[in-house]
Amino acid sequence: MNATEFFSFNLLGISVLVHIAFVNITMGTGWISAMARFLAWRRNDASLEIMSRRVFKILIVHELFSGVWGTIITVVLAGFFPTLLAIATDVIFYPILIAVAAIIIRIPSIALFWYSWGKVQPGIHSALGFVMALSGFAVPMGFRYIFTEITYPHGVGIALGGSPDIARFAVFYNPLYPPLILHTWMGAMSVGGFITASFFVIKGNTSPKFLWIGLWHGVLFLAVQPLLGLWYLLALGDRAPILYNNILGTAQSTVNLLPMFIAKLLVVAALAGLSYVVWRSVKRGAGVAPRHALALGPLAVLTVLLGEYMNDGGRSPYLVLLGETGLPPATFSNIYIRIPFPLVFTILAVLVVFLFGFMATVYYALNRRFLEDLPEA
Amino acid sequence: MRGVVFVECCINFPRFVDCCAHTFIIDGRIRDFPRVVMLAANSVSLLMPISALGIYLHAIFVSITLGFPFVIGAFLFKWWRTRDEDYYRAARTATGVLAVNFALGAITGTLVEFGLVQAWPGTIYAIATVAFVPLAAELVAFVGEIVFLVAFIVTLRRVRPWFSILLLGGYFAFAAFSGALITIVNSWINVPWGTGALASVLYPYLPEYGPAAFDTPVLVKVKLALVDTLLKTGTASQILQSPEVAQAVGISLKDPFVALYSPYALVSVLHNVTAAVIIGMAIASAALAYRHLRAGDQRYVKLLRSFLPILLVLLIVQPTVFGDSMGKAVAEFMPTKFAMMEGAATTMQNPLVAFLAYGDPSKPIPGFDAFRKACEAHGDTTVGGIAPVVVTGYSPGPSSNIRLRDLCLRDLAAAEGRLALINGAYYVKIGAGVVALVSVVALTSSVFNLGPLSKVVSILFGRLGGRRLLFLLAILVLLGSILPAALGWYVREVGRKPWTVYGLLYPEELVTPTPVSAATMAAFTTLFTAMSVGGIVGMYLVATRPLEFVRLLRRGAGVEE
Repeated sequence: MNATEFFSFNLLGISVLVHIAFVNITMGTGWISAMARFLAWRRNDASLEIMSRRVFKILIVHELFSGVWGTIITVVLAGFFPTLLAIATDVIFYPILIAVAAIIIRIPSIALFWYSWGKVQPGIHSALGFVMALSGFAVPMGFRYIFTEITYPHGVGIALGGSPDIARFAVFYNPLYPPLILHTWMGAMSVGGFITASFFVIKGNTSPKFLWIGLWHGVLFLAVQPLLGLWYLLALGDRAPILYNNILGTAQSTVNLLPMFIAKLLVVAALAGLSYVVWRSVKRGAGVAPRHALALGPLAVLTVLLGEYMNDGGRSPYLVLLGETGLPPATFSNIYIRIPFPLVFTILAVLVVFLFGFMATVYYALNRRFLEDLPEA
Repeated sequence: MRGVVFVECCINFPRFVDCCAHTFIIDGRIRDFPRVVMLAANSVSLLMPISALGIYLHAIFVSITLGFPFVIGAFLFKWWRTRDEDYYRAARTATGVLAVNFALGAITGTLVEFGLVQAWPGTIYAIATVAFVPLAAELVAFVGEIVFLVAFIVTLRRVRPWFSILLLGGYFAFAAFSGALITIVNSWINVPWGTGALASVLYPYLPEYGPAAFDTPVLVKVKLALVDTLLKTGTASQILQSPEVAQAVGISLKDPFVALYSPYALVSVLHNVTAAVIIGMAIASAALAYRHLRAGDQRYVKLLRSFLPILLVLLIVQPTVFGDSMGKAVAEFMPTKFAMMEGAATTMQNPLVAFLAYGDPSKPIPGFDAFRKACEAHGDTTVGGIAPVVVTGYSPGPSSNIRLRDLCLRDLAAAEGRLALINGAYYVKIGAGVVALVSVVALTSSVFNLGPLSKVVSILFGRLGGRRLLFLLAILVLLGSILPAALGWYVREVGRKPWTVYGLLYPEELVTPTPVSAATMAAFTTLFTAMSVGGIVGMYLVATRPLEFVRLLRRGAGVEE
């Protein structure tokens, strides 16, 4: 990779990682909020309804920003890798359509879930909550086909073989897809649980009961992840040996990610250990919320980031893997113009500044409970 | 059956090859030609209305995004200066509407963007070249909007009013910047600035579009590749999927900033952003007038007074300064669109229009007869005859036999077919704009004491009564704002047809190669529309039931229960 390709590859990677971090939070908290709302109705438990609303605030403040980074990915793809985007919008047309349709349902259902609270029957409202939550999971259901196709071009290979009409449906049968999507979904569930657990340790927002609910969600879905992760890894061994070798740092690796893989396993172990300690402190919501439970959410997000980094960066020096070899980023790069890098660097610097500005705002909105100011009489 | 398809082809898609006459043998595959050309034409006819609907829905939310900051800012300013809590409560309610609206604007914008690259993947070439700089910069605008909006919402009343106004101003600045950048991209497809004389070579009645920032031979190669692929396979945009084609094309644009220098873009930005601000403010004024009508509470008139002068100034400036400049730019750069707007089937004299458009009342307005005459200058030149002059190593393809004169005349015919529609839409737009201007003057005169003007309004509309008068005028301002904007956009988009990129590219060259079923698209459109309607209902709920909203929020925060 030359400097330009290296930059473009990393820019795409960073955008994906930031986006993934945010969407895991919104998907997971969306599910927990909907579930809490449903249980509040079924058990006639008002406190669960309060929990649902509080968890939903986490989703609200993160949702727009996660969406922005999705847009950034699209622009980076169109601007830096136009050839890849042109292929994706054709061969992966239908999965992208599914994702876009899911986005269409997701955003209004978030607004409707929030604004119809108390104005419609609890059963209808709970159903709306599940529509909101499940549509969040349908977004990666579409987009993850892009990731599997650049790791193992099942449909794209058929298209290149001269059968684009067959290829557009063949993408749905990519053998890497089932373990990847399940790994993604369970990861988001787990992150949502742990973020919720951390949220209810914040000063002024403490609730051992809600913490415990978040914790068991996180632990439950974390428990299935090793199995799904192993399934995905074995599938990579069969279909994408480069990625497999790089993750395990074998002699054939093009980039050794074994230290990162070990780091991920250690983080998962730390998360499990910390969960055990917290679990003992607040079993079934009784007891005192320990301050160190604050680390649960960040650790869960870190786990996801390490996994996603390996899945995406592990294809280096290629962008699209083809079994034992691959296509470098240069194959798909924008060679129609000379990229104005001073402008690109300026834009990136501003985005980083805004990212910090946004984090500060979120801190004030959630930790300092600035959102409480709205309910003035 | 083949005959039917063939005839449909000639009706829908007559411009690339003389399929109605004699030249429809493509690589010896006579039977395939009508079928394959129909593929792109069908996709265009299916996807074009969906794209248009998406853009119109997005425009609704963009208008509120740009207009409401002025309304909220005015409320906050008055609250700051008077400490009157009515202004603060109104600002808070409007902020709730703005928040829901922003989410919908962001999502419809994202969907329009996806729609662009997915339904019209040929545009990826433009995004990777001339639109690279505006769209990359737009990321900053988009993120800036969100950061400032969230900061404004969560700090409202936690910080001093002037600081809230400052945050709101930051939000508006980035929102307007975003609108400006998107308008710049749209302006480029109307007036492809930086392509030099290329369009005028194909269509001699067109002017040159700035300096040749594009490498002309490369651009011609891309155009030929698109046309030839379209004629061979029925769709064209798939050529962008080939790394080999990309390598063969190579550097296309020498100056990636060229779209920003377009004189057409500058006036378009001022015209479009101002139109959006006006609509957003007109929605707020109509809402207040409606509440005043229903409740009879003078509080709503007080609120209306706080921002009405801004709306008045904008509605005066828009047609007299920005609209006038826009018209001049269309007359200069888009002659067919201008002829369609003025109904100039033949060259005509209209001193008033000529003075406004050219600054010379004696200058004739060129009509389609003049354009046709210009087309005749091509003689019998064919694509294959002229291409080697520009493209080194040109190898003839299916487009080689196309006569430039035929191409020029057919595209003119396609444009002229829309003349009555564009002419009608344009003059309804002008009429509606006049209604808005008169109404806003009357509305201002009815809520402020403007001496004789207020008396005239009182005499003319006195029988209606104050509340009904206010509502009627506010509704007229609203309609007079929305109608010109909607029709103006229609004229802007349909007026450049039959091209997507004026004088250079057709929609059939950019449309997806994926065959799309009508049922799938119908389901998608229904979903899209339902989402937008649901969002508008949501905004209405926020605006009309603030107490319920607050009560529920308090419950969520655990303050009640």
